[in-house]
Amino acid sequence: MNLRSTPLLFASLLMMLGACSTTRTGDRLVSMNEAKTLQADEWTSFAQQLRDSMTPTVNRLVGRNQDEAIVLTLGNFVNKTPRREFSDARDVMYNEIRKSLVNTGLVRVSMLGAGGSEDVDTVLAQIKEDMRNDPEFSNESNVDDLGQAKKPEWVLFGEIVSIESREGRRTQYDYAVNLRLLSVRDGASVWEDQIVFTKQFEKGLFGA
Amino acid sequence: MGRISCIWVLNVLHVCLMGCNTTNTALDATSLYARGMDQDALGVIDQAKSDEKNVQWSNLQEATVSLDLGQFERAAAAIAAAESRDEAIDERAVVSGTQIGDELGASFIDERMREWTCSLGERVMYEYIGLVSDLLRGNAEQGRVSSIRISRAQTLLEERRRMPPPVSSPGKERGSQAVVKSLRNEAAYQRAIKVYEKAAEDPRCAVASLLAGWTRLHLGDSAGRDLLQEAVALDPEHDVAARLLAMSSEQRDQMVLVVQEDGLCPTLRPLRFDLHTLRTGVARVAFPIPVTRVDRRCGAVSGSDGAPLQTLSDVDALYLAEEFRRAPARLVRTATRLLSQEAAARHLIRETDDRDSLSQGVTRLGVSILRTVLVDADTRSWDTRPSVIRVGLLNKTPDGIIQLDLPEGRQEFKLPPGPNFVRIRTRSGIPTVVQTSPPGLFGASTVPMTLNQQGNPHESS
Repeated sequence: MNLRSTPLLFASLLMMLGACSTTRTGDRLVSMNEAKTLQADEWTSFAQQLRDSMTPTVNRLVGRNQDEAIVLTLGNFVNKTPRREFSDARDVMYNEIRKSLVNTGLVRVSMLGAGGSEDVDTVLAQIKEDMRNDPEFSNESNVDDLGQAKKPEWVLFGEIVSIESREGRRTQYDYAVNLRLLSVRDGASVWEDQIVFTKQFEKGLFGA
Repeated sequence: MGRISCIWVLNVLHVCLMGCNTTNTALDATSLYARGMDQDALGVIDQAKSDEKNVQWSNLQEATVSLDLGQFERAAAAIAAAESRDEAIDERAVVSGTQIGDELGASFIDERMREWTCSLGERVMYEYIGLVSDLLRGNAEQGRVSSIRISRAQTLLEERRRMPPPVSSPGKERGSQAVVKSLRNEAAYQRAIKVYEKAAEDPRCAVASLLAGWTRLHLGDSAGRDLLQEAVALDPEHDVAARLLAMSSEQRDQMVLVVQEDGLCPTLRPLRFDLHTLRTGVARVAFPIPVTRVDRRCGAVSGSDGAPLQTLSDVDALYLAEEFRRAPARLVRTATRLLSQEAAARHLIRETDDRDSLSQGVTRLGVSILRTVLVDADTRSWDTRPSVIRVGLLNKTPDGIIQLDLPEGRQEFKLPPGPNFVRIRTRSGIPTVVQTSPPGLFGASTVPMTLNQQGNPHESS
């Protein structure tokens, strides 16, 4: 009897556990960390690191610009990882970067597009072409308030790469975001950095 | 004791019946798709997903069928699901040191109850399908990811090719060696495996490299040239990759890359034969054997200049290479399973030796049903792929027009400015499907936000 009732009890327990699904918000949130991608708070941390690293260069450029905020545009941050999530999460990344830079008061971020290429020359040519075709920057514009916008002089260009290494049950994911601030005029780089996130995933002995 | 034996027989019967369902689902989907009933095939594939062992097989079938139906988002989602599943399978392999499914299959369980997993060659092919879906739905950013994944999977294939062929561990073969030998020497089996003579020596897919290279070249990525050079190396006689490498970006923008996927790749059919043992009678053996479907090809489509598109990838040969690689492990599993079944059958028959004749009769009948009628081959394979893939590079007129000589006759297509991708799916007796990439595939602006006339941000197209 005991042998027969044990599987029944076990099955009932599993069913009860399955029924305990719940939604958590606010203080009841449980910390989650997915090694194969970067979470929103990690993008926030990334944007802050970017701002801190870029600030000395921006200060110098602002000084050369009669203490006026510099205008830059965000180039396409190329997803060079084999993970689709990074392409989908780029909006979050762009928003974090914009927020972080604009709130310093030293930078104005232009919404002008910069193309999807990894090639710097193509990116810069695209920006110049966009400025030529956009009435916002055209001297012949007859629309009020347009034609007054300041052309972006700088473009923040980036690419995300990842390295995956495995040792036993542990997998390490190194995500590097390579950053370059380029002059639209001559394509020269005035600041570069690489921000690295390392995450590890260890497979348990059981479970899928 | 007799009751326990009966319960065991019923349980194994239940397992086998579930296995039958798997095979029938595979055959149904294959047959519906081959008859051009793509929507019905998709329904069957959808149902098959409810069985966890079929998920990966269903994902791949869903991707190809929904692509033909023009459901690009669904195809892309199926590929993303296949990628996640493969990652989970890889992680599981890290824990166990081998694929768990292989170990379980060596026991009582019917071959059809095993989880269907992708080969490395199939990973390249599904990433190719993913890239095609990305281009046709106009998502160049995801196209870059698909291209990166193609490149990675091709490298893995190349590395595997340079390694010595896998040898079953002595532990796995111990005890089953004699059975493996007798199965291998079976005349029907010997005849059937002749089909593998046409298997490709290099399992890399040239068309995947070409399309990945073309995409990345248009995205302005330097890796595009390496991928095109890989395509040249895989098929030096096919000139499209070499021509793309020699062109300037302005020239490339005026060209249309046309891919024709023709016919149906081989499918698996059961090869059945019986083995006789003195103590327990007859045991049925069933192997899945590839059957080619060359008659489903339509022939090459021609472009505006009248030159037919040239074959770049022989999917039949790639398919056979994948199945050829699976064959030895399948043989060992079948032998091990036969031995397990033999031992179980002997045990059950011995248990009923001192029982009444009815119990003996029921047991023997159950055992013989289990070992003959219900045994069948696992015929699941990714068989909704084409037989060959041909590729051509066509010039557009200044108005953006190209002409194609399709099986239904000459047709004209007006394409948007910029680089274009055209996919043609031909199957004998089934209307041709022509799909073209949307305008602005590698558009000027791909940042997420731009300003509209009112100065409010809106999503860029």
